[in-house]
Amino acid sequence: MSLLVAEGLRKRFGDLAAVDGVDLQVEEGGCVALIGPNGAGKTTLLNLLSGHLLPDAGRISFRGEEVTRLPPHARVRRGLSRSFQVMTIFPQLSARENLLVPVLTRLRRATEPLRPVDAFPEAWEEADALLRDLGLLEAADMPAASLPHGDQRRLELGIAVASRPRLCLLDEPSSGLNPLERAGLLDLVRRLGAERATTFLVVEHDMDVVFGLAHRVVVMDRGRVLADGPPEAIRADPRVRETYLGEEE
Amino acid sequence: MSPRARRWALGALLVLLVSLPVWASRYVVYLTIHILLLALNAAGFNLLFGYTGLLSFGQAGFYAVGAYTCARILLAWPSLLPGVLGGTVAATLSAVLLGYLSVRHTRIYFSMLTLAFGMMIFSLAWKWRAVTGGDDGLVGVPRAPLELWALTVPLPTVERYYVVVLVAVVAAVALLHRLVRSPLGLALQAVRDSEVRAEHVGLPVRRLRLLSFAVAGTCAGLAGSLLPALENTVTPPIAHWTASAEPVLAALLGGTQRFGGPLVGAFLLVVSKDVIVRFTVHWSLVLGAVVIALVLGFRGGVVSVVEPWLARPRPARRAVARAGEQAP
Repeated sequence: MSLLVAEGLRKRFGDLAAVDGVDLQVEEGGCVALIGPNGAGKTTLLNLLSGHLLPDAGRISFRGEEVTRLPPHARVRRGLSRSFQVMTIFPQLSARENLLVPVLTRLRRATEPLRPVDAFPEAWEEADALLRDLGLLEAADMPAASLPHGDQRRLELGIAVASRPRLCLLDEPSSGLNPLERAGLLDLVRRLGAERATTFLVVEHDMDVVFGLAHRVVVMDRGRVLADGPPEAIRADPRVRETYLGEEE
Repeated sequence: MSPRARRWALGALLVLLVSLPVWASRYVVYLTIHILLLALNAAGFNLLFGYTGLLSFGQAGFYAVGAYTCARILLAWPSLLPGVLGGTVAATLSAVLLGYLSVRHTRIYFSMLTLAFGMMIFSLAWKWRAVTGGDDGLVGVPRAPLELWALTVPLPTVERYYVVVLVAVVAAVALLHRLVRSPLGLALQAVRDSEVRAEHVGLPVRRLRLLSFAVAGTCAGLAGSLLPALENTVTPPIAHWTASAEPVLAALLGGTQRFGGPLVGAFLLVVSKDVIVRFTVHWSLVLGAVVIALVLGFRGGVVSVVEPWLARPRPARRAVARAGEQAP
């Protein structure tokens, strides 16, 4: 059974068909890259899959269950989480609290009203273990907004995986990072994915990174899927070279 | 402040408050009741504002629902507990109803809705003469005895009534303090920091906002319910939007980033108003100037500015200690 199946997804903004009939299946395991020129509809597709926007037409099922019109929080509970292109963290909370929120939510403890947060050692330990994986344990008690940009990016990745999703959508997780940090972050994505049995669907611009990370590449252009296949096939595809890779080189 | 110093300061404050009727004048006791009521109202307001990120201009509405309901109950059945509980429950119910309609919006839209709902409650108090007594209000409300099972405690003096108010307010504020330290409190702060991020980690954002709104309304309602037995009357101005500004001002004065901020702010606001009224009939002008000076002079609230003076470097929290143990 596919992890995620999207059929005939459409979303218009006024005259612009941002997503114009997309069919997409994601199988369990590994990392799928979603690439395409600016305005191709990648972020809109992620917004539809995560419930941030509702589609005009089409359906989405996740692990065999229809989720097309479910609100985001209900999708997260079913194992579908995401990160955002624009930094989206909890700026006034500490780095640890940023991770405690999703962990406590997953443990169904987020609405405990009377016991203090540190009365939940299992959540605390899980958050700290993840902080260590992210290389942020030193900064655990710092307000997230005071962390350097690269650390905030890793923290956002941590928030997205802290809810132990089966499928995690990452929208340009390395945007604003230098090439070295970028490689490190995507290495982290690979490691976290393997350790946690999380499948990733990643929007990414850096082609070297994409071809090193993904076992499958989906190319979008003008709201449609242009090509879909293993990295070597995509690299060789003349249509892709024309519309996308050509521009890059 | 270190946790130890904090405990000492808190203990000293409690001793001061408990012993107040012994050494202070009746007027000071009366004034302290007003400080306590505003402190509770402002602390509840700040759960909504400082912790959840929603600025309500309608808290006086829930305060008034509590006060009027309690007064009606006391007039029919002179027993304090049913009056206060009934008033609080009525305020909670109206907060759930109006909150359900308000929390669909945020920022200025939310604020304007709460202002409008608050003023609707004011017009009810003003016009619904059969129930509220109109502009006369409800008069002759008895300071009914506190009846607990077989025990009946008469409350003939302000000093005795003060003890009841103190116990109720301290208990409610302590509960509120537990709430903000809990996972629920953390979830509310997450909603404040980023609505989008919060719903994408699995939090039901709207339900959490409603919950916060209901708790704030309950605090306002409990504070309001404790008023009629003190004053023996309830009149419409307590529901007016200018009364809604009081918890807002108290929270801003004391600081919205600290739990204790609104409590300190309530003290400052009630005391400065009381002092200024002695000197001039244009007290609201002077009070306004004082509030502006304090807000500008103490960025982030009095507590945020004063506390670091008293503070030694903050000791490592338990979290850090635990993380240290685990490190190789």
